[in-house]
Amino acid sequence: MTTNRGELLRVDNLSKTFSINAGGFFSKPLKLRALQDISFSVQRGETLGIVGESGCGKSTLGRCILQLLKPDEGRVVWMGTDLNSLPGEEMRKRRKDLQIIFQDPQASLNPRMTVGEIVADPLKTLMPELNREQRRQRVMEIMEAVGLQPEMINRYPHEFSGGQAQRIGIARALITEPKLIVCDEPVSALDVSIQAQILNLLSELKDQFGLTLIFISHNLSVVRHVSDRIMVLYLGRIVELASGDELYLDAKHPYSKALLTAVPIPDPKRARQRNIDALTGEIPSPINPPSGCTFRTRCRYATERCAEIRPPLEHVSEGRQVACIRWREIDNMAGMETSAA
Amino acid sequence: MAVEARTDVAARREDLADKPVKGRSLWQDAGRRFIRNKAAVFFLFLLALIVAFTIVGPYFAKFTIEKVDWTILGKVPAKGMPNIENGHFFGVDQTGRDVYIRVIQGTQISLIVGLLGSAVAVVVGTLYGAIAGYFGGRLDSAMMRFVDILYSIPYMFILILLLIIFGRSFTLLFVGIGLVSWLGMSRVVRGQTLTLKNREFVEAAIATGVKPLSIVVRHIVPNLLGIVVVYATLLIPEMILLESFISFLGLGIQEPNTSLGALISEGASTMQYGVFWQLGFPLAFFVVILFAFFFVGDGLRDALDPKDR
Amino acid sequence: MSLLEVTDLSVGFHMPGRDVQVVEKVSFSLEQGETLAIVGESGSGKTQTAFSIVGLLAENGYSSGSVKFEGREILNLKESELNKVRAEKIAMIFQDPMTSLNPYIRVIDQLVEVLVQHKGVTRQAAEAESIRMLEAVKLPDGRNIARRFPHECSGGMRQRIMIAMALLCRPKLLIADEPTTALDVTVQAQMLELFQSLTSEFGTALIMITHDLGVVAGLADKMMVMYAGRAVEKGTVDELFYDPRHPYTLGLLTSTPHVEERSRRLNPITGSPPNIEHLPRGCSFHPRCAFRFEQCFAQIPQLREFEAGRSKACHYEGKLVYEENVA
Repeated sequence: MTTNRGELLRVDNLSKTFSINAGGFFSKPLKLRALQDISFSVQRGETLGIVGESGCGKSTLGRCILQLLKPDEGRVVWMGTDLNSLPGEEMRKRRKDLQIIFQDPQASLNPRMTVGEIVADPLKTLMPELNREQRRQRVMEIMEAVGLQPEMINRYPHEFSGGQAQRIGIARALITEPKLIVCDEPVSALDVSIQAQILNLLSELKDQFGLTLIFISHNLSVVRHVSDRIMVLYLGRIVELASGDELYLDAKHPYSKALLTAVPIPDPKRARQRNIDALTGEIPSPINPPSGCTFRTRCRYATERCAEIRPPLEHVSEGRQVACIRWREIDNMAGMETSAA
Repeated sequence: MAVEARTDVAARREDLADKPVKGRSLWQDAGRRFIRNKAAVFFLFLLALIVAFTIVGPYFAKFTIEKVDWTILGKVPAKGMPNIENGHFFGVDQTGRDVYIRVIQGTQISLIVGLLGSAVAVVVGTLYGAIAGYFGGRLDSAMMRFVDILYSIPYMFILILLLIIFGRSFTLLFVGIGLVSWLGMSRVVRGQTLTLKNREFVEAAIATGVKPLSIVVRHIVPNLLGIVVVYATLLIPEMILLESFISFLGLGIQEPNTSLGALISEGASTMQYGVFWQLGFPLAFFVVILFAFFFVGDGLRDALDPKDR
Repeated sequence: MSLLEVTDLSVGFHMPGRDVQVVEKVSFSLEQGETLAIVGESGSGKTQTAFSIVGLLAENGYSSGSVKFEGREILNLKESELNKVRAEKIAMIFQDPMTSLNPYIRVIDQLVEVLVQHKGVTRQAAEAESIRMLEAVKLPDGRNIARRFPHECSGGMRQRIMIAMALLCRPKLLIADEPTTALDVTVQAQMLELFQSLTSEFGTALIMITHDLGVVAGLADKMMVMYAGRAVEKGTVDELFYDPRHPYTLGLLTSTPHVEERSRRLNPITGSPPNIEHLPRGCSFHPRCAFRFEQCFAQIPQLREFEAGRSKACHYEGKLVYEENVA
């Protein structure tokens, strides 16, 4: 199977299930299906946003890509090789090119190590050919690039604010000059004004270092701002994949639509015009998901067929996919509504 | 009015310009908090005094631990009281030996037992618990079941039995204490490791390709030290008590060597003669040492586990 | 007479060796049925302001100033007096419902306890009313949910139970501290819809503490922006969103991404929020302000009303425009 020239990463049919002890010595452990049958690809130089609410599996997906969690099924094809089938030592070699930024800035930094040690750590493991002086040099350069004063190299993580701590995390992810970085909710734990700083920083660094990003978040406004293409997950499955504009202006899947109308808009006049019309019900438990389409329990367009058939990801147009058996009908209904208005 | 576009960098330089460059580690923070705890500092000072006493004290002693003072022997209740002139600062015991130098030696032995027992616990228990906790799975189960088995053995009985069968010996005592002192520590460390291994900085280390054993040593253990230090400090008095109990039963340290437990035992048995100094001095030292370790241990725990952040 | 009149409220904490001031002379008022949003980031003092109104400050906290509810001073009231005000007149909802509900007691018992304590009704009547309230907060099958324990309910459900508990005694004022921050987007939307319907149905006044401007825009009538313990701008929601007069307010607006637009670059506020124990001299915001000048370094700006119902704490009098933003 030849890979696309521009394709950096391809995920094929990835699944991950967790076993949970239901309690009780004799009961069988329950299966939590965190991810089911996930397939997508990431092009070189793009930012792919992965968005969804709790239980959708987005963080699990980020970790599976990096082999921090081992997928149960499927392949993670990185530059032609399936990471999932590699032995530990081989995978370690590739970690130089695949890095991750975590959600909680303070928790992702070892409190007993100085900033310099934290940022230099990847170099020690992944680029052992560098000597001490060279490492120090690189650390200083990277710190400058992320907006940290190099003089702070001997400080400890708890002496920094949330935004600065996140910059340290970014510096650590960048220091081996990776090709792909998975950003797992990198701004969710930060204040609004700092979020914007970090988002701008990520955007600058992406251009400067030629990075490809996978940006995971539950915050649609943020994801809209940074992503080229967006993948919407619900209960471990992909429900829609589209470019940013396509998704936000013309979402096809009922869940995507509901998600978009639910996002609060910082504009009072617009907010008053909108009918909130919130989605009913709660997200079902991933231990016992509904049959057929997992979204049907909350979907206003659900029919009996939706309970029987699991909707496959259908091709809508170039680069667009939807997992809904009724998307064409829904589209037509919407079309009729607008023309009647 | 025109606006100066401000870059991120400019604002940051001002923000942090006045702070010194040397970092303030968590240990330093803890040290500062510890110092604020007056009781802990006082008892730490007291402990230091006691240790100094055991080192310097012998120079003032006029007698050795086994020398019998024939002039007082037989008239101990009347003539054996603490007395600066005849050199028996703490008095004389029932067999005519100088209590002062014996208390010094007893204190030395008790402290050594406590510290060594604790040291074994720290080294063995920490590594054992960290490895079990980090690697998890069957290795963890096996390792911890082994600990459970050892724990359930009534070691006090076994130890006493062994001491009776093989005779009293310092080595045996040590071995016995060493065998059990690390058990509690390994459980505590394992628990803490379980919490730590799910922290994101450990994931970050994995993501940067650090090997598992390296992660345990470089990332997990340094973050365990807080709890290890506290537990070790509280373990020392336990070890001293254990040894004292065995010595009190007459099974511990061999004559003419002595420990605080043995001294207390002798002192207690001669109380009826009114020779209270024989019990009083070793007991006082014993109690102060235990108190001191408990207070210091508490102080350490408060210092390392801040709640007023 | 306003429902709630807060004048020069200040809050501080006794820490080892020092006292830390976290709220400095904050004033605002609220009428019946109005919704006020208190907006700020971490360290702004917004939560402590709310806590001190209902007397929930920590042991080492102290407050001064005046808080008048229905004309009556309630700041620093005795516990016994304050308890009568709580739940019946003023109720509070917290951010994390899991820690606000007792995990060992069934939902129905927790609700009943409130009614029996405050209204002295019989258990039967209390149960009936509790179930009615659970249904009012859109928890279908209230009877079933009532028998459960908190951990058997999802996050969204627990939040609703909290709201139900808060509304049981029909308080005139509800204070919600970041009630939707921990919730999923779709659940948050349900919650906001609920708040809207409840305030209109029961006529409750609402103080919403949040950092999310989207939530403010959809729910509030007036808003107060806080920074480093001080109120920096007050006015109606429309006024602040479309004509902000304080650089921090403007900064918050321009650094919030908007889901319906994809701008090339956000305009973040440079620097970090200050350490409340080491505030800069002069205006606390000046190190991060694009519009500052000499006076800002030296003198703390006082909150001044410059139009009817609008006030700001800023020395700058010119137009607030970012040149890059004009594009």
